[in-house]
Amino acid sequence: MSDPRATGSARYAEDFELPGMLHARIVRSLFPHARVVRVDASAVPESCIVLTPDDVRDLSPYGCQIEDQNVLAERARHVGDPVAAVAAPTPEQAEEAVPLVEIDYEQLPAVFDAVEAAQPGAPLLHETAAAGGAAAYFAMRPQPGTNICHRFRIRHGDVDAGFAEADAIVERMYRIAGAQHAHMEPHACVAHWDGNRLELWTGTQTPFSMRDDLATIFGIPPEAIRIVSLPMGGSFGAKTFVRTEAIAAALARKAQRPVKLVLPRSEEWQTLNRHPATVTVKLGARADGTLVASQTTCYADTGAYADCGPGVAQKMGFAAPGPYRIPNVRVDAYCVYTNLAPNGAFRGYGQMQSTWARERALDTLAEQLGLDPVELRLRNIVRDGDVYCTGETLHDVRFAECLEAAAAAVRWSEGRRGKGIALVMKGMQTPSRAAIAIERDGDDYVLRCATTEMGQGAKRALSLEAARLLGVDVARIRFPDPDTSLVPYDTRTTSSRSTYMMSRALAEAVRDPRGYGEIRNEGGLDPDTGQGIASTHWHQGAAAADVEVDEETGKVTVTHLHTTTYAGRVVNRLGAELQTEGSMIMGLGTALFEEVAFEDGQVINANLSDYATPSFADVPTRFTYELIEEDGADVHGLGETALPPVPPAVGNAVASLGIEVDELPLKPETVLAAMKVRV
Amino acid sequence: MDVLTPSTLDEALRLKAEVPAARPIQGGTDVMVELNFDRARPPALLNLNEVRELRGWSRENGTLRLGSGLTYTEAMAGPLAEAFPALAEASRTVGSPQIRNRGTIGGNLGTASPAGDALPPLLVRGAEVELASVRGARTLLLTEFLVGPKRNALEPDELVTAVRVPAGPGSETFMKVGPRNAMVIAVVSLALRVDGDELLASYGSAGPVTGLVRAPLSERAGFPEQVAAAASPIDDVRGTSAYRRHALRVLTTRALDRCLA
Ligand SMILES: Cc1cc2nc3c(=O)[nH]c(=O)nc-3n(C[C@H](O)[C@H](O)[C@H](O)COP(=O)(O)OP(=O)(O)OC[C@H]3O[C@@H](n4cnc5c(N)ncnc54)[C@H](O)[C@@H]3O)c2cc1C
Repeated sequence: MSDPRATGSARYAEDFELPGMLHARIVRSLFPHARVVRVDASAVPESCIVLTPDDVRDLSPYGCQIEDQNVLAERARHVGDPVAAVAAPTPEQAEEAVPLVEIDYEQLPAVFDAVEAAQPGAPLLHETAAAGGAAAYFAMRPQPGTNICHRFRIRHGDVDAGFAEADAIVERMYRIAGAQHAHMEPHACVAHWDGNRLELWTGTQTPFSMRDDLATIFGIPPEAIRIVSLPMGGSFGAKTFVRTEAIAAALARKAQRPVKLVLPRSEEWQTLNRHPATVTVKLGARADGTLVASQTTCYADTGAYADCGPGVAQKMGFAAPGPYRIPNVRVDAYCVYTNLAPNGAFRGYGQMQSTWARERALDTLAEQLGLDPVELRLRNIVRDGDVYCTGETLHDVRFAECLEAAAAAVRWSEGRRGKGIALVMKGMQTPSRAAIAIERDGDDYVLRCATTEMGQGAKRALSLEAARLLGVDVARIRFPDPDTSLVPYDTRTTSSRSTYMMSRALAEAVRDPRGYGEIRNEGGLDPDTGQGIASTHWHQGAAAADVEVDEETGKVTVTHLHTTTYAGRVVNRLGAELQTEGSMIMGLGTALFEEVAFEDGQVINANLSDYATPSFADVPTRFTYELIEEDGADVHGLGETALPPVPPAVGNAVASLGIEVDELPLKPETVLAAMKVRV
Repeated sequence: MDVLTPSTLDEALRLKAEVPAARPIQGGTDVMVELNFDRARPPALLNLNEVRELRGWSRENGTLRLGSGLTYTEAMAGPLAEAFPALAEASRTVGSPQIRNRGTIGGNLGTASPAGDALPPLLVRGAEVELASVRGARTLLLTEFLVGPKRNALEPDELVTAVRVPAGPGSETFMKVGPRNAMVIAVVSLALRVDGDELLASYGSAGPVTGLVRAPLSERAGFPEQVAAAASPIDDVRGTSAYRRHALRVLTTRALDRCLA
């Protein structure tokens, strides 16, 4: 079978066209915070349609968790905030029209750091922040009068008493830079109105959230909207919720013609990045290494609009304590507005940030206690049936196995110099719902579900599973692109949930005489105490790294990278392996050099030359992984698990040489600076 | 936009004289980027890929003559790599296999970027650039050819035909520091050559033009500092000025150790 992606015949969202469509471009703010006082489009040729704030005044604000964003900004809150848009017969004409739209601004004070922005007296981005959309599956806790749009806490035990008992305490502040998803295919959509019905073809991981948010924006029933999620050339969390679709739809409404909007590469950095974060971790242990208290404070910089930042901050917080038995836990996680481009979902969802901080802090604690870092972790690791700090009981726990296997892979027992290890504990979307319908078409079976394809192999995995359950050849399974007018509701294709959730719905559907199956996982956390069920299904993994540091240039070379993840039952072997390799390589980028760089709120490396992602030449010569499998066990999501533990494994390996780096990425200059303070 | 495709050097020079604004294109790995980003809108492209005289390399009276159409892939292997090891090392660090197959030395000279990786190895060899036009041929020292950041001494009707370096013995090497291991513009690069009693170093990405520093071998000890001091790097998203100077000092020390081992 020739894979259409290999032969070049695959069609992505960017390839979709409708007859008579116009091509759109966005006119973006040049300032990080400014009132738009005048938009003058008189110089734009007649053949172009221009969308200005006047045209969208009837539209409602939107946001998947907080409705804080307008289709066009009358008050721009970041460099690149959409202020107007144009549509023209060709993409070139649209591009040429952009500078012809004249905009006058009145600048406002701006703030670019989440910790600063959270302080009283910082310039405020949003005076009001109402809780919104269906994606807000937990109670928002905005802090009035501040830029904090959500606060999440865990209160478990008595941390002060815990620290009082401790023989050793470490407390350090860690910083993690923002990152760009750098999916190969940019955001792309085509919008079309058929009377009062909106049809939208777009590369999105979240067709139903998209439908519901657009219904809010345009004030029409969700049933009047049809979203078709076309195959994506990568996404990594970027193609979630409303990105460019509302502008395309508003332009199409004005033009009375279909409108296609494809983002130029540089505008990706103005559309969505990963949350830069500052995470402070304080850990206390007895002399024998028993952890007695853990306290974490996270500031997640969500940029100008909340997007799903409250969810990211909450997950950053609830998994921050990690897979360890700790009697006294306190977590305060803040999602904070700043005048940077919006930050949102990114492979690893909050775990990139808190895993780096916690796992680095554990190694510093081990050093202080004179304990082996693996030994310290094993002494405290959670086991089957343990109760997590949220109050939920953990099942099918394999952390110790993951850790021991990763340590063995880098021959930990033969010497620790240049080696590092880290564990990840990552939650999955809880609560959520998945449903699927199986239709018969002649000899074929058609899968109708909203699981989207972004290159992760969801279609392949579910088709293989359907073939297995139905006892037919996989060639007889068809899996059309999700169309919200034809498929049952599904929460979304995120958080490595689809193979796990949808394959269980599929099993129900195979048993059901009507061919319909639905699965729900219930839970959720009280945002003030962090008690409840954080995740009905935890992703478990470990990474180990062996590094060399060029002590004169500061360059870190990873000579061996290994991950061990718990896979449960593997549905698609090749897919599982590729997801793991991809995660590891992506982790190396965050570990070593990826960083969205800003100057006065403006991204200064918004191109794929200055913003480097790992190349194959950056993959270590020894690059190994293993999936712990168990026949008959649950399927375990693998889309992200091997990613978050990579940066701390590398950071801990560097630390084993006496070079303690607290911030990511581990750029040569950062490493050199850390060497100067080496003891 | 027209594409003019001469098949001889004479024809190429005639076309360049007739349409001086025509942009020469060899590998196109810089030209196509410029066009894509709409940084230039030349009325015509002068496609030099069919001009045989610009291809390959030869030995001529104690010199190596590299055609302006010589690719990095060609410079990386075989007898040329033995005769000009620093260029071979530099070529191996350029872009990706695709870029090395298309990209040429002449294109690197045409672009005259301070980050051009072919330039430091050529400079430490005292390279001369052969230029030609319908008016005749002339030769410039590479140091005279590079007049500023992305600016060279080409007249509107001229083409680069070749670059010449002495074939003599000597010990040389090339090194580069970059954020990742491939497809990267250098944070700094350095070529170093020990030629009898003379030390020559040339650095890239550490000043408005690729710099050349010379000293007698007897001043080896102070040479790394001399190279670092000669550079005038800037702070940018790839690295700070201070780090670039530091890295030049480190690379020069290592290159000296390697060449004088
Ligand atoms: C992905 C990528 C990675 C890269 N990596 C590197 C790298 O690591 N190191 C590096 O140094 N460069 C790199 N480059 C830049 C580029 O590949 C080099 O500068 C290469 O040497 C250009 O050669 P070319 O034949 O492609 O030039 P072209 O693009 O064809 O031409 C470049 C310039 O030279 C002029 N020109 C070409 N031939 C002549 C001639 N005979 N006479 C007069 N003018 C002429 C052209 O008009 C143009 O101005 C990279 C480029 C890309 C796209």
